[in-house]
Amino acid sequence: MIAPSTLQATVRRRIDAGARLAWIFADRVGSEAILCYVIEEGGKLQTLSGPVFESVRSLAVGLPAAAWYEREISERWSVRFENLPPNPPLTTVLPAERLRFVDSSEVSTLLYGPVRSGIVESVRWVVETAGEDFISVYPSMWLKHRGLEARFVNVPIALAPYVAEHVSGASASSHAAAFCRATEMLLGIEASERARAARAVLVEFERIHQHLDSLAKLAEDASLSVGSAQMFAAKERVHRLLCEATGNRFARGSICVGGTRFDVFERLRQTCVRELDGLQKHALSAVDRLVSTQSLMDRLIGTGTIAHDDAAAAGAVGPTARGSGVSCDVRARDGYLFTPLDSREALEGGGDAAARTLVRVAEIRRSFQLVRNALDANPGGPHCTSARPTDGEAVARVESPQGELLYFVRIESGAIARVAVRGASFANWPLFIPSLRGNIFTDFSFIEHSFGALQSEVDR
Amino acid sequence: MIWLLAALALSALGAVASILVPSSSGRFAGFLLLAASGIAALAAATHGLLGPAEATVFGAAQSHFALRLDPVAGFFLAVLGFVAVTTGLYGLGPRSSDERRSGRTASATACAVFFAAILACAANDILLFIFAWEMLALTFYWAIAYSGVDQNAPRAAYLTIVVTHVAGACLVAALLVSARMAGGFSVPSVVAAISAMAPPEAGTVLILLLIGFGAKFGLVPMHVWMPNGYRAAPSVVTALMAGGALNVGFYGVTRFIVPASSVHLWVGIVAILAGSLTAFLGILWASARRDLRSLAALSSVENGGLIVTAFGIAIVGGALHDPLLQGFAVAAAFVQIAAHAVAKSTFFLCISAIGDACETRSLDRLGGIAKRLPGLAVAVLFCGMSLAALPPLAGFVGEWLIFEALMQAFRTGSVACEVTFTLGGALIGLAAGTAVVTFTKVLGIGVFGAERTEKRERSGAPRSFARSLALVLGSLAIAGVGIDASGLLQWIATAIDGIAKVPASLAMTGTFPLVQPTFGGFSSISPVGLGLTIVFFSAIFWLISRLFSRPAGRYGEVWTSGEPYRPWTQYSGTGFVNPTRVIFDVALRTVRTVDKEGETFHFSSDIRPLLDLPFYRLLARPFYAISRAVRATQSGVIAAYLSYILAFTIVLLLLFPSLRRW
Amino acid sequence: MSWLEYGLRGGILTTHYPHGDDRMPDAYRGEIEFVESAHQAAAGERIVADVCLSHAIADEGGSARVDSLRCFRCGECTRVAPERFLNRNHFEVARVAESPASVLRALRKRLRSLGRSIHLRHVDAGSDGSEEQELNAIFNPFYDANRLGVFLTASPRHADMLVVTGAVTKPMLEPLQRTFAAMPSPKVVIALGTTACSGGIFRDRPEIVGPVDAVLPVDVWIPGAPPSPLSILHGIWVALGHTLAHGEVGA
Repeated sequence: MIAPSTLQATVRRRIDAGARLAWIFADRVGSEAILCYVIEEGGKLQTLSGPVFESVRSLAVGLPAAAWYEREISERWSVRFENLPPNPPLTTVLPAERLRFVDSSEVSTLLYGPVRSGIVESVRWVVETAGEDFISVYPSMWLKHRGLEARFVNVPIALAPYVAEHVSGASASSHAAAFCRATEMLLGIEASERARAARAVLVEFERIHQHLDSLAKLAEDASLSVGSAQMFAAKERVHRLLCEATGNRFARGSICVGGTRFDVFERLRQTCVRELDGLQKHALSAVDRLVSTQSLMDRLIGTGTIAHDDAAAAGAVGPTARGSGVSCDVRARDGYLFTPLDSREALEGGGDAAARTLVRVAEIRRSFQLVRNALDANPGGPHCTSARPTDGEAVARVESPQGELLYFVRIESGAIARVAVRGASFANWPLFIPSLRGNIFTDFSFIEHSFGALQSEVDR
Repeated sequence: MIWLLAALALSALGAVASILVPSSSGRFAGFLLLAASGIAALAAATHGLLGPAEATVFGAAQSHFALRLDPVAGFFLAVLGFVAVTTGLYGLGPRSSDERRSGRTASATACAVFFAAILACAANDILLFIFAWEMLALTFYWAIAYSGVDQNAPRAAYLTIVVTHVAGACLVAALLVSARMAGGFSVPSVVAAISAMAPPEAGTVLILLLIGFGAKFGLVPMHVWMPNGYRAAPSVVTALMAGGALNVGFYGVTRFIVPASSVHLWVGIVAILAGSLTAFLGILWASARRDLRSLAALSSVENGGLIVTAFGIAIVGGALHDPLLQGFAVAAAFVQIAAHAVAKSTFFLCISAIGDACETRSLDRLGGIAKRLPGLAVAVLFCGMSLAALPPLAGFVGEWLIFEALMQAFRTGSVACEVTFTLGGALIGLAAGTAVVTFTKVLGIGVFGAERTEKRERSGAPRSFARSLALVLGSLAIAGVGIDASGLLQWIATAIDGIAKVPASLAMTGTFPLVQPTFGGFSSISPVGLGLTIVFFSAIFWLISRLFSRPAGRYGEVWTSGEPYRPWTQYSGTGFVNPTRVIFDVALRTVRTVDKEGETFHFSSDIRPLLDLPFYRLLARPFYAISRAVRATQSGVIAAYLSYILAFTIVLLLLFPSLRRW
Repeated sequence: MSWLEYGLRGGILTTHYPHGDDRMPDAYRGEIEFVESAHQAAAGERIVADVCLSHAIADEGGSARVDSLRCFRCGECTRVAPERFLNRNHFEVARVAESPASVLRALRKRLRSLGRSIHLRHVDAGSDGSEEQELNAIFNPFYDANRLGVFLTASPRHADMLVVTGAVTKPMLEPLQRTFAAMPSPKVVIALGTTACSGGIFRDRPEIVGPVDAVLPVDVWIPGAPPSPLSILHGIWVALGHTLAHGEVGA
């Protein structure tokens, strides 16, 4: 714990010295509010926390990455940040007329959402336009807020990973793995190599099916029906493989604190012997064909551009950051995954939707390779390690399909007292609006799908 | 002739009465006398059209004040008279919000404009014509500067007077040169003189005349005064100006240019190209306008272009010795003149009513008219459809005839003509399409849109019988000119005789209910048939839906993505024409500014049309340079001026002998 | 090779269901059943109800019942008490209102007037994102819902069937109600996913208004976390009146 007067200064100093701000969250211990800053220094995460009294200095002015975290904390935890630039609230859904910022009768306001066309998650956009361009765009989130972080409290530790899987069902394995990792660090145990290999394989399969989903939606937007159908077909095969191995198409209910709930590795190994070759061939051939289709790439090149410096300053993660040349692959830093990886991170410099797409394609290829590496290694060990309940707190991270996913777990008197979740989609959200500048309506869905955000992990 | 004099007298009396009689009675008297004058003009027109082919002249034939009433003048008097009747009738209603103070200036200027217009159409003498033309220019200035409440009125009026006078100067020069050639000032002799002129002089004279008359109806680039000018004057007066007095320009073209240039092919080609370009650019600029009055003004520019194109075809026909083409093209022009006059005047009257009802004339702020004022919405619908040339209304027939004339390219046998006709046709086709977009914007966004602003308790001006009668009359005229086009053609047949020297029976066959050009079965339409078909099928569909539909469903809220419906989610006019704007940005050159001030964005967009003020500024630069240089001579030192006199005297003395010899 | 050739070379992947049979892998957790064993539990021995996060196991004094609409198929109970709780890989799990029979008859009558082809409108009322991806999957080449006459539409005015995923959060209450009101009759509502059917683990949370049937009249419930595409097809087929729901006796 750091004294409140020096907390922000310490954080600032470390960041100026080259650290990256990953997260800011709040906690309440007893009647005291605690502010925690998670920074990454030299590839390792560090938490700096301190109690907060009436008000706190905001870091958002010089550090754009801090802005949205501070906004959320100031609204939900009643912490006052001085000098926080004024903005409409993030976690309250305002009536749409309060989000109109253009004073001209020539400009009409388009309300896009919350019930949008297609099978999409609910988020509302208030777009002011004079034809087809974006003059003012304001998103309203928090429509799907289900109170997940509060739901964790007092849940038995053995059952808590199920709650983590509910935060985002489409990236369930990443969330469960991050939660379990944090709890294991707290309890002072480490899952066996076999269990960690199984988790790695599940997370990599999840990356494959989520990236295929993104690519399929991009193809659908460009009216490439056959391409989109092939992507969805490849995704379906991944789900079928996972279902055969684990009993759930999204591999839910496989990961637990201490390892996996049954010998997931063996089931995966047996299923992959039969299915993996066909699946890999199908997926990679379809994906390669897709990115050499000029009619699709023409729509993506130059669309939704994010400059490298903007991405780095805003703390972007995942394929979104890598598309702008920002290196941020968590797998290369923490030894979470089964084998420490080489630093062959897929980086592209363009910053546009095409760059993000190419990053995803490279990641799919790499994920297949990682799966094979893990399965070939076939390590031994129990599938679950038990532990005695202890008190404590820990922060862990996993490279989910959207990017770096952070979990904070605090156990007090043997029961879960606080869980905080930072989804990768939340970190990338602030870049979405600037990326719309200079584009027109028809580019919107391409940009949206190239970001690949999952709203459920943003709203929690 | 007595009716003509009565018309002149009544309108003069109307102007005087408006000035002298105080408050709203003066206004009422002025408009009443305007309507009466219009009726007198209509009577005179009937006389002229039904009367003998040669003119009836009042006053000694050589006198400078002689008036002349032949079928051509009769046609134009009919058009002017009708517009005056509807305008006068409309003015009998309450004062509208864009008239200054008690509205007496508005009625006075309206009467004065009408007076000048009739005088110009009936003048038998060049000097009287020029006098009437100048008077028209001055009354326009008076109307624009003093009768409305627009902030920009002084600037608009200044621009108007400058452009009209520059054009007037061209006109005066050309007419005086021709009068010198003719040796007299009467109109027929001047026309004959122009026809007889040798090519270089004839060319100069005809082009100067085209420029002069073009400024009145807005031939590009002389149209610059129209958008702001028509916006500054109250819409009641603009109805008369745009629907009525505009036609004096066409009268001038008909009287002076068409008969005289029937030996000069190139004049026709120039007219076609200039006209079609004007048509396209005019409507393109109209599509980007947000104010209804500017939009209507630019639509008048478009129509002017169409009519000049038709006259151009007539000139080509004359030069190629094809009387059928010539007669047909003149007929097409006349029908379009009539269609435009009734539609544009009614449109401006509707704009006046809209402005009173909604307290705004900006398209992006209008809404709810169809719900609150269904009659007005129907009137605007008629005007809009006619101006967009949709069947079975007036504008459709006129434009169809012009297209038919353009399609006769293959008959001309001259490559230059074929290319010109094709090019003209393409531009007019573009113009027609853009017109549909523009008036869809006006009707869809402005008239049929829902209320755009939250507060709307007052319903605007009280209902007025006179106003409604005027709008009904205008709408009926639009429908009538369209559906009974063949009947109209019978009337204007005698007018065509005078111009095209073609027997009327050869020029057009307009037997009811068909309209067809006499090209040996080329094509024909029946506006009556079209009208009946539309009505018939509408009735059938209504019947089917009544017989076979299930019980009435539920009324629900407009679907807005799960949000409650608010009026500001509607499309704006600017958004609607955005594709047109983007495609033709070369001619529109849109400028958009978005400033962020705190939380709010200030957005504004404007167009900088190519052949608009920037063009003039470019032209004016050498003049400014010269005048700056000349200003140096006005040093204010008496010695300089004395030396100028001395120098000039010496030069004169040196030159005098050689001048005498010459 | 063009996309067309590439697609044709891939062959036909589509299942014959519901006009033919299909099955899920053995390990698939489709339904959890409570097995009455020969050895009855001694009075007082609690069946492991507290291992269920969504309180789907109703302890009925020596016996138990698994509420399929609340069960999110985690399989925890099958691991803790494997002789009592069995996993079945059934995928035909859609349910309709249990009583009275007149409600069912009215539903069937209403559905028959929809004809042979329907349009779906989906609303996300607060899901975790996986149900949307499974609903999207019914249009992929493996399942191809279009061959059954099932199409997706963007406007509720054109929709016959409303599919709602997720328990209804407070901000999504009104949009959901507006969407339902914007649909013309006859219309059918399907609650997709365990959280939509019963609230799941969010049942009594303050942020949630309730499961979908607390807000709209639901006709068919499809439980699952998430329900597989075959379960969704079954549910739609039940909704169209072409087949029986789980536990329904043939009429």
